[in-house]
Amino acid sequence: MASHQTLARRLVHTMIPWFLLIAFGLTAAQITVQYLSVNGAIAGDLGSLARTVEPSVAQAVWELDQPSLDDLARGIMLNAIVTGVSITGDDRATLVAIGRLPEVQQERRSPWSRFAKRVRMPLYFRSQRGELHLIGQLDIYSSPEVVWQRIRSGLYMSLAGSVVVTGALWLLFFGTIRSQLSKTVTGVARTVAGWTDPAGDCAIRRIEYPYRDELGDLVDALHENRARLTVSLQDLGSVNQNLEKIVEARTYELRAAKDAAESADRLKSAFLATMSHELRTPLNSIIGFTGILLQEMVGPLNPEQKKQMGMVRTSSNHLLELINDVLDLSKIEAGQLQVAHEPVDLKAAALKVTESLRPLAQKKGLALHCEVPGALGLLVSDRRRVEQILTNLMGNAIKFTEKGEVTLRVAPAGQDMRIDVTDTGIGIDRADLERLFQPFFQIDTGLTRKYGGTGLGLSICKRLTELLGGRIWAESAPGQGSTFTFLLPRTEVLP
Amino acid sequence: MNAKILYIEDNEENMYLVTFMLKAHGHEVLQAWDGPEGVRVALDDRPDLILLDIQLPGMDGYETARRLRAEPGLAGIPIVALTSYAMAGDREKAMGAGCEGYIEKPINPDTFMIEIEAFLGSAP
Repeated sequence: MASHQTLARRLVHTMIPWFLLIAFGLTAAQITVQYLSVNGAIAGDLGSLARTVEPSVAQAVWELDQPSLDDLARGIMLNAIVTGVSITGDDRATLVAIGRLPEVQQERRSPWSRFAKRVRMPLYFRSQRGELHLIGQLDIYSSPEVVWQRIRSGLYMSLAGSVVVTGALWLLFFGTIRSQLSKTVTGVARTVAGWTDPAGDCAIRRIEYPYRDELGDLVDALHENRARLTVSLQDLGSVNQNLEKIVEARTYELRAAKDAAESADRLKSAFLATMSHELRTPLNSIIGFTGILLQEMVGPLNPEQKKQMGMVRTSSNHLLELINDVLDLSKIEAGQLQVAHEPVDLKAAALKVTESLRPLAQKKGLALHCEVPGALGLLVSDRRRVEQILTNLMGNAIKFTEKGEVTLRVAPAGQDMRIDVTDTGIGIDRADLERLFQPFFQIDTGLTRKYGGTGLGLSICKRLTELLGGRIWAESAPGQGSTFTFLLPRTEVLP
Repeated sequence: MNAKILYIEDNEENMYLVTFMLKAHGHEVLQAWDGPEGVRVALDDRPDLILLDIQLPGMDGYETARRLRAEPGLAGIPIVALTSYAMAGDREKAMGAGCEGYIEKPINPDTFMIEIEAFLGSAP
């Protein structure tokens, strides 16, 4: 619906041109018929007139009575339908010519000229012997104007009648369409527009339309559709409700599961904190008192006592290492370990770790090298964690190397800082290189028994490296030593 | 350089251990077994250094540190947290409560006295 028109108006607009065409055609036909009929009547009248006056005119022509001829001609002219009279003698000499004559009329070339009527009446004289002699002819003329005058009044009446009838018909038609069609259709449209409440089917007003016609069919179809829609909506509503119930139930289950998981997570954190404290408190005494005894603050120890106390110290330190590693790993896995973003002097860290491990290397007779270029600058990372990774890798290298050397190399490599720890130790099987960074890998392979350690160091290193935005891998072959490499992003190297 | 050191600790073995080490190095040790007692002893005897365990019964170490710091008479006495708490943020929490230092348990017997004496050296 482009613009809002009434159905009646649109119908009338469509019909008017046709109506006018038909009305004008009919009127034109009526005029033509009337004209022809009047024309015929006039022709008949002219003939009658000519026959009536013919004896008198013939008599006057025979007697060459010019005054009578003139009177007769004037008499004929008095007839309303006559526009001209001419009387000619047998030598074609004009005896009388009054009014409008054919030559004049033909010159006018009026469209009516071919309808111009002329009645030619030959004039005869009957001799006493009864013979007829042609003595002249009488021409009586009429014209379309006469016809026109005759039919004019009738035509006006007819036209006026047409206009009145047409107007009345239009009004009637318009009014009927409006009352019967437009109002009904508008009512139906309003009622249907009022069917907005999908659930309140009982509130739906039925369309009142008593007649069995096309509109009635439309109304029935609407009611039927509405009924189907109501059923569909009810179905949809119950499906929706079901769905909502299901979603609600699922949401509840999920929330319960989430709550359980979160409380388990909190319990785990609390457990870790408590365990950390509970394990360290007795360990504090063990390590402390062992230290005091070994420092001979209490009194001198004999060699056997010293040896056994040393074993207590080693075991305690191992236990402490285990506790620290397990807690570290748990914290990382729980996403609770946060790394710092601080300026880190990688060169200082490398030297510090190397020096702290030098006694261990010296004890095994290994050479320990630290190769760091002069100006590395500062790296934004977590100093403690970087040192932890370095200590772990170098500690491992020393642990698994019986003779030769361990070398720590630090060098920029593209976007990263590359740190290599190379040893000349036992090396690693190709298959094991894959599993190396999994927790308790050593325990699986039985290495722990021979070499000690927690078996968690490398998996902690891997996770820490990832937390610091880098990565770690190992290259090795059995008997040919190993190189552990980790990269730290140097995008944030400070000047 | 003999100092008067207050140790607030509820664990008997740890108390004995640290007391023994401090005394062996010639320091005088004041013992307190919980927070309120620690504050009382500190106010009575004005130690040169306070060693404070964090997991104490009742009033915990953080609260005890805040109480100690609230006493104008104890201003300038360094407080060192001595704790087996080693979770992320423990150090920051201790520092936030007014501690000057933080030594993780278990202590390292070889370096413990060096760390303690560093705090004594920094005392006014």
